[in-house]
Amino acid sequence: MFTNEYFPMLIQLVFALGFVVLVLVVTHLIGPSRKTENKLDSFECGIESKGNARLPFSIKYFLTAILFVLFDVEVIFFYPWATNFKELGLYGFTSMGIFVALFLLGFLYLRKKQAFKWE
Amino acid sequence: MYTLVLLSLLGFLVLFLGAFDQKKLLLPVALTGLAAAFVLNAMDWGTDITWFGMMNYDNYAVSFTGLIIFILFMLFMLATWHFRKEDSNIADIYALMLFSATGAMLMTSFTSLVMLFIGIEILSIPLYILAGSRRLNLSSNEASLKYFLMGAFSSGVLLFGITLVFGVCNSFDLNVISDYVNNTESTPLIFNAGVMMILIGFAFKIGAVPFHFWSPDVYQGAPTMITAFMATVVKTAAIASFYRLFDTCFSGIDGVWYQIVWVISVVTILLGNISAVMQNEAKRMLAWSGVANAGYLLIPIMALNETSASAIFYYSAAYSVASITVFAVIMALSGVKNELPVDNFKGLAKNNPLLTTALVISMFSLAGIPPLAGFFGKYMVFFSAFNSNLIVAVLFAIAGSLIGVYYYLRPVVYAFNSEGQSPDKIQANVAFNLVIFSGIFLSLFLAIFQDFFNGLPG
Repeated sequence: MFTNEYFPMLIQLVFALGFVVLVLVVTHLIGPSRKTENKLDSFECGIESKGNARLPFSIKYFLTAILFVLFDVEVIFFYPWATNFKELGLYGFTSMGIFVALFLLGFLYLRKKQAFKWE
Repeated sequence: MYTLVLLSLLGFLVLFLGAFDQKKLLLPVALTGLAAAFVLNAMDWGTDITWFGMMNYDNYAVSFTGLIIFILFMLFMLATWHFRKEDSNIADIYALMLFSATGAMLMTSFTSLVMLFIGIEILSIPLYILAGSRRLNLSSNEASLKYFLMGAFSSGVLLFGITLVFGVCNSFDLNVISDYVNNTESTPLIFNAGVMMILIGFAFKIGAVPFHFWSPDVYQGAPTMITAFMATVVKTAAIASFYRLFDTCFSGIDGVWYQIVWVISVVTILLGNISAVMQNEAKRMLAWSGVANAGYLLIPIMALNETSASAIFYYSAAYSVASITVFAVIMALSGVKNELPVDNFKGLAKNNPLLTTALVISMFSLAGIPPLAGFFGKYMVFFSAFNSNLIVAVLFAIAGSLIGVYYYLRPVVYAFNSEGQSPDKIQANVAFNLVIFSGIFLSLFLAIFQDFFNGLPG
């Protein structure tokens, strides 16, 4: 077992897990703690919290979040392309053009489906 | 390849026709596009071109793609009447079905494990949405969520398997993997584990025991059109890719997976048929029948000889045609509802002779009664099994078929039962009746073209 080439990785795994557990336990034990009702309450911008946090809220927020993720991912793909712009040349440009065109089509579809209408 | 491009562009076109409120153009455009795709695909016959080292359009891929496009064409013809009352989002449903079919095409033509995985995902992700496309129906939502959770999990297992195989072979390419398998005395355990995981992923997609639990709930809850799509296109694509991968890559180590597939196949046939006997809901019964048929389709994969490919092709064609016809009858009878108890077939023969004929012929074909297409499908499957000395598996499969006769013929018996109220005459449009007619015709005469089919998958 000790001669296996993966043995160092096992050591690292044990060490990583052990470190996390150790830090959590030790800080919990040695840190000063004074528990009051106010301190244990969930923090809500300094205002006294009321009601349950799990309220139903408008689907529009989800829609916006999902759309943000989509376009964010599109932007992320621009970074590696921009750094390799010269090497990739025309091939990279056309590939990226098709990619962006597909995204614009999706954008147009969303607009037509009135995903951006708030009321 | 051009078929693939055409089909995905067609999906976009349909999507935008819907977004720009051109509902009247939807189906004409989709049907024309599919016909063009069919012709374009047929032109690829015998060319055997490899694209980007990822896809190879050999005759096997071309014939299965042709079958998939043909089935999709029939389904869209049914849609002209079935979706007449739905107004919103209908274009999205068509577009998603087209996108899903492009995934099915990738699954028939891949030469790289990456392409296989992408194909399965492109096939599955639209299906999760389609299964829940009847948004206000609770069982449709349940179907969608169950299918999504189980599907995502099985995709994970499949991907893990692909990773292990890649880890050993250092390549996703099927030829490299098959070279490795053929030139290695005994493959390492980690490779065999990878093969097993890929096997599990496929068993889930075709709905084989013990990975079939999703299928009755999903088939029952999903809209009938989507159930028909899953029972035909998805099953055909999954079994085609299953055979393609195991025939090209893992035939050299069949000692590793042979017994497992044997057990899966026999248990699937028996459990599928016995469970179907106990169902009182038509779509649920067909779901179990689909499970049983997945078992029959696994037999040629075990047999793995030169008759296997054409047996799988012919069997899926016969099964798909008969299934679509039965689902068409269910669509006609259930109307706006999503479910149809088997009792509702009672008295069908009185006012609807055409639908009854279609029901009788396709149920007989599914039960495997000669001289219909389903019988010759089973014959070819058993023939390929005999060539590889799989006598015991064939005996189990025949026992399963005998059980199958009972539940396939129950709706037929009900249809001629004149007690109580019989359903009124159902007026469908021309396209719907055309599908019914061609379903009857193909179930009756598919066997005549058997020589043609024998040569197809190459």
